[in-house]
Amino acid sequence: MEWYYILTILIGGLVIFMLLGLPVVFAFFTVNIVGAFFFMGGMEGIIQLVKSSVYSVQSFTLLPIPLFILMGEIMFHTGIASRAIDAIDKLIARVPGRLSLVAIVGGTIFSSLSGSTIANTAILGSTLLPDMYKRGYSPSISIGPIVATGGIAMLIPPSALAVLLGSIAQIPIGDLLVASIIPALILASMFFAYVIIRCKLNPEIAPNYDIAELSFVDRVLPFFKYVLPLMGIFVVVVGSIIGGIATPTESAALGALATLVAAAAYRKLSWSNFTISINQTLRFTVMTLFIICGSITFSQILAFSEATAGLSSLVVDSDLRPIAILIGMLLILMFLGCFMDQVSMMMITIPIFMPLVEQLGFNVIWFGVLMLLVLEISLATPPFGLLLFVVKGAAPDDTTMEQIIFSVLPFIGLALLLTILLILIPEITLILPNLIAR
Amino acid sequence: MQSIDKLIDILGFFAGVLLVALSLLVICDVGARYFRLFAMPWSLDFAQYGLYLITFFGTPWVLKNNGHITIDLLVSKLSQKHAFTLKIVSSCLGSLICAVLFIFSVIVLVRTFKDGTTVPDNFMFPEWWIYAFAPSTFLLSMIIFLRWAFNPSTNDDSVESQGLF
Repeated sequence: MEWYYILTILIGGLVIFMLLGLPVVFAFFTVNIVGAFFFMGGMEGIIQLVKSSVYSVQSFTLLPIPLFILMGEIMFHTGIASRAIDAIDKLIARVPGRLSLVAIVGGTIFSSLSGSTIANTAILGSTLLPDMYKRGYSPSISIGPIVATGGIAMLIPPSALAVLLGSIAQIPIGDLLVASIIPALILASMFFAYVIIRCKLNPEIAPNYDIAELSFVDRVLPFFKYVLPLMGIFVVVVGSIIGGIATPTESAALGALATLVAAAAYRKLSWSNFTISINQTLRFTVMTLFIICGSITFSQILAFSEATAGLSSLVVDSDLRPIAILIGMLLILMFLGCFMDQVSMMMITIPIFMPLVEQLGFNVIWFGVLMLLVLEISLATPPFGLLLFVVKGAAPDDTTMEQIIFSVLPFIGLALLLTILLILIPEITLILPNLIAR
Repeated sequence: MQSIDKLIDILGFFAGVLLVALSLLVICDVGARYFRLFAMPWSLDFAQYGLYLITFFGTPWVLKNNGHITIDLLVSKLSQKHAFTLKIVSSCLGSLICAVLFIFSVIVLVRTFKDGTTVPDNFMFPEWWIYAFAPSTFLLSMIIFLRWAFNPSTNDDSVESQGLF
C-alpha cells in the first residue's frame, strides 16, 4: 500500500475514534493496535506495542512535569498566587485599563511560578474578573487579557508542556525552557501596549474608577512582601539551569521545594490544600504520561510503514521553500488546535515534523519555541480552545461564549504577529540558550 | 462493583503517595549532592520506575473520574438520545481495546517470566516485575468501560473528580 494511503488511514482513524468520544489515549491505542498488527509483524507487533508503552514513561526527563505542575497547584490552592495578584493590583495606579494591566502583569509573574496554564487562567479569572465586571469593564478588554496571559504559562518556565515537547522531540529541555523566556516577555509587552492603546482610544470599555488612596508604603510594601520573594523561585528554577548548576529535573525539584517553603513561610500550607494540590497534580500527570504510553508506538508505525519517509521526501523534493514548509507546519498545528488538546497535537505531529525539521536544517530550539507559541495560541482558538472554557467557568453566568471568543481574537492576532517576528528573527529565541552554551 | 471502586481508589492513592515520595527523593538527591552529604546512585532508576508506576496505578482512577481528555466536538452537537448511543458505542470500543491490551500485556508478562531476564540497572531485578502492573491497569480500565457501556449514566462528564486523600 502507498504511504499516503497509510498516513490517511492512520490519522483519519485517529480523528474518527476521537470524534466518537473515546478518550484520546484510547483512540491512540486503537489505531496503534491495528497499525502494529499490519505494519509491525502481526501479533509480535502488538507485543512490541505493549513493551514500548510500558517503557515509554520510564524516563528521567519527564520528571519535571509533575514537579512543575505541583508548583502551580500549591501556589493556586494555598492562595499565595491570588495574594500576589492583589499586591500587583495595589502597585498599579491610575492608568487606562488598570485591571486588564494587572491581569497581564500578574499573569506573567504567576506564569514564572507555575507550569499550568489552567491554574494561571483560573486564578486570574476568579481573582480579577468579578471586579472588572463590577467596574463596568467590557468583556472585550476583561476576558481577552486573562485568557491570553493565562496561556503564557506554557512559554515561561516552569512549563510542563515545554518539558514534554523537549522530551518527545529530543530537543535539549534546558535550552528550550530558557529560549521561550524572551518571546514570552515580548508577548506580554505587546498585550500590555495593546490594552493601553485600546483603552486610550476607547475609554468607555474600561471606565476609570476611584481607587483607594494608599500611602506609598502601603502601595509598595505588599509587592516586596508577597511578590518579590516568590520571584526568588523563578530565579532558583531558571538561574540554576542558565548557570549550569542543575538539570531541568533538579531545577524543578528545587522549584517545588522553594514553593513549599514559601507556602509554609506565609503560613498558608495546610494538609487540605496540600492534598488538593497533590490530587490535581496526579490527575494531570497521569493523563499526560498515559497519552505518551498510548501514542509512543504511533511514531514507530509511521516509520515502519514508511509514511514518515514518504512524506519527508515528498516535502523536501518539492520546489517549496523551507520557510513555506515551516509556515505549513505551523498552520497544520493551528488547525489541529481548534479541535484538539496540546498533548495529542504534539504526539501526532512531532513524528512527522521532526524528521522534516532535521532535513531542512532548522534549529530545533527555534522550531520548538515556534511550536510552543502556536500551541499556546491554540489554547485560545475557538471553538474548543481549553482556556476559553476555563475562563467561562470563572466568568459571571451571563457571559456568552461569543463574547469570550471575540475578546480573545485581538490577542491571538498579537501572538501571530510575534510568531512572524520570531520566524524573521530567529536570534531572539537563541539569546539565552547561547548564554548556557558559554 | 464497590470493591472494584475501592481497589481503583487504593491504586490511585498509591500513585499519589509515590508522587510525593518521588518529589521528595529528587529534592533529597539534589540537596545531598549539592552539600556533598551522601550519594544516591539509585535515585535515577527509582524515579524512572516511579513515573511508570504512577502512570499505571493512576490511570484507572483518572478514567473512573473522567479525567482523561475526550474530544466532545461531535457528542455535544448530537441530541441527548444520540449522544447516549454514541457513549455506549465508545465505551464498548474502549472495553474491547482494553481487553486486547490486557491479553497482550499478560502474554508479555508470561514471556518475560519464562525468559528469566533481569533489568541491568542498580536494582538488578527480574524484568517481568516491570510488566506485572500493566495487566491490572488494562483490566480495571476495561471494567470501567464495560460499566459505562451497560450503565451510561455512570459516565457523567459533569461529575467532579473525587479526591484521594
